Amino acid sequence: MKLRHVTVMIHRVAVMLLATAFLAGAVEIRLPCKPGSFKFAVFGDTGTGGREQYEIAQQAASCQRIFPFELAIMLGDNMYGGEAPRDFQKKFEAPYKTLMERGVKFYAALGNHDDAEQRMYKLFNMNGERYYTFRPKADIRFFALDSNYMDQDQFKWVEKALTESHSKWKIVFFHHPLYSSGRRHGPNLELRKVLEPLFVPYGVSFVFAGHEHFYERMKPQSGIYHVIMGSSGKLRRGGINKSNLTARGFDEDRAFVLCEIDGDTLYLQAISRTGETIDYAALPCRKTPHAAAAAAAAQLDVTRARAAGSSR
Amino acid sequence: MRKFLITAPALLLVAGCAINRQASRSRTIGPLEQFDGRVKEYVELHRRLQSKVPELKEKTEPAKILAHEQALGRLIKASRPDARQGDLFKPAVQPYFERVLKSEFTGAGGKSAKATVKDGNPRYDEQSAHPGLKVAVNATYPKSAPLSTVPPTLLFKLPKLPQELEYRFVGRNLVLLDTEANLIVDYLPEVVPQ
Repeated sequence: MKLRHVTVMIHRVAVMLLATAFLAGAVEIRLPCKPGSFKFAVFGDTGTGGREQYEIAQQAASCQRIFPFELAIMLGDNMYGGEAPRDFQKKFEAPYKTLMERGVKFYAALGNHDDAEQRMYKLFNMNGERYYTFRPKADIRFFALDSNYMDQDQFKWVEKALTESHSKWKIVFFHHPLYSSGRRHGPNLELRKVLEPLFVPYGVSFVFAGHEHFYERMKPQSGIYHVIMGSSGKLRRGGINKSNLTARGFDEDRAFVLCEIDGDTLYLQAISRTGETIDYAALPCRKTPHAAAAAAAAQLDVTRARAAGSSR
Repeated sequence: MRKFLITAPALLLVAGCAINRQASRSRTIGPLEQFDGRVKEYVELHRRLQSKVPELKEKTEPAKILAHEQALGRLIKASRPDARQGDLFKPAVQPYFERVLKSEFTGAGGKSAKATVKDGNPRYDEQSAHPGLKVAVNATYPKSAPLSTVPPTLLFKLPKLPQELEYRFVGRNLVLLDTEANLIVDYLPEVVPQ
């Protein structure tokens, strides 16, 4: 009787393990997955409504069970070829339904295939703005930019927002990459000319971009990590002309990225449609005089708040 | 008397110079001011008509976004049925735009700026080219067509636009696009150098 009971238990555990492996799409999550760390996902150039976009979304949903990311950033080209209500359904709401049901919030940037009015769409969380910022956790701030149209107003806004931010982690995302080894597009030099002089002194650590339909992580440029994630829907097979810039590139299948911030380190794992890990890295936060000053100011705020609290 | 004879010509000279300077300044910035004025008039019309369509909330449904855009577009079209090319880009201001665009697209960095403008340009875009996209005043910009990237280096030189309007490129044409109504408001034909 006892033996039978043990056999049933083993059977149950085996079934659970198999189910977990199936749901995880056999993805081996290499990220530390620490309690209390900040976890997010990155998708770019998604909006095809095609089978591969759905498969990527499914893979991400499987990973989310093990690696419970709270938000996802979208790097533009959220809708290809039409923006009728049915397109929003087919190219966004249906593929990411499972993730959204689990409470994952999506934050979108605009690509060159996106109508600016997407900023009003509630599930993109842009609050009616082409460019915006949000702080999901103390010390971590995201900046979503509209790289299609970097006019004077936006430029001034970026400068002000970066200057005023006291967050240790400043992560910027937009559509057109400042650095790229792409055969088709390559880097957007005009954008780099105006944005890099802001990103470097004001302590930006990470820049995520899409546009190129592949995955590429650059070696740090002026201390900043640039990652292209533009193949979560579209793919340009063989699109990378590997150069001295490339730390890791993948242009053979669709992909997405998972990130985890724990203390001074951002852990990144890029995963293909078939669940293969195509990149894994542990990357440090940038230390700039501005970042140090910002951190000191933030600490001062905390101290003041505590003092105010104790004096009450 | 002698004092008057010395100071009068000097005063006349100063006044003459001032008038001359003012005249030359109005020759230089006059067309640009005129352009700004036309833009302002258009945006006033846009805002007036916007108040006649149901207000769009910051977080809304795609169907409402589309309905709002189409309703606003219809009202604007109906309000300027005789609008034609050059209404905002008056002939007097065209040489200014041509000069700025020429300086951006030729010389150092010109090649890269031209490549940027071709990127997403509906006439050349590899993924969803719209070679037959008609550029016409009051035409709706097709939702399926991509938008050309406009180099920030160029945007910093061109006259600033209110948030309702954007400069875009379709082929070699510089288009003034109403982003909320998704309408082509005016355009400058074939201004990007070959």
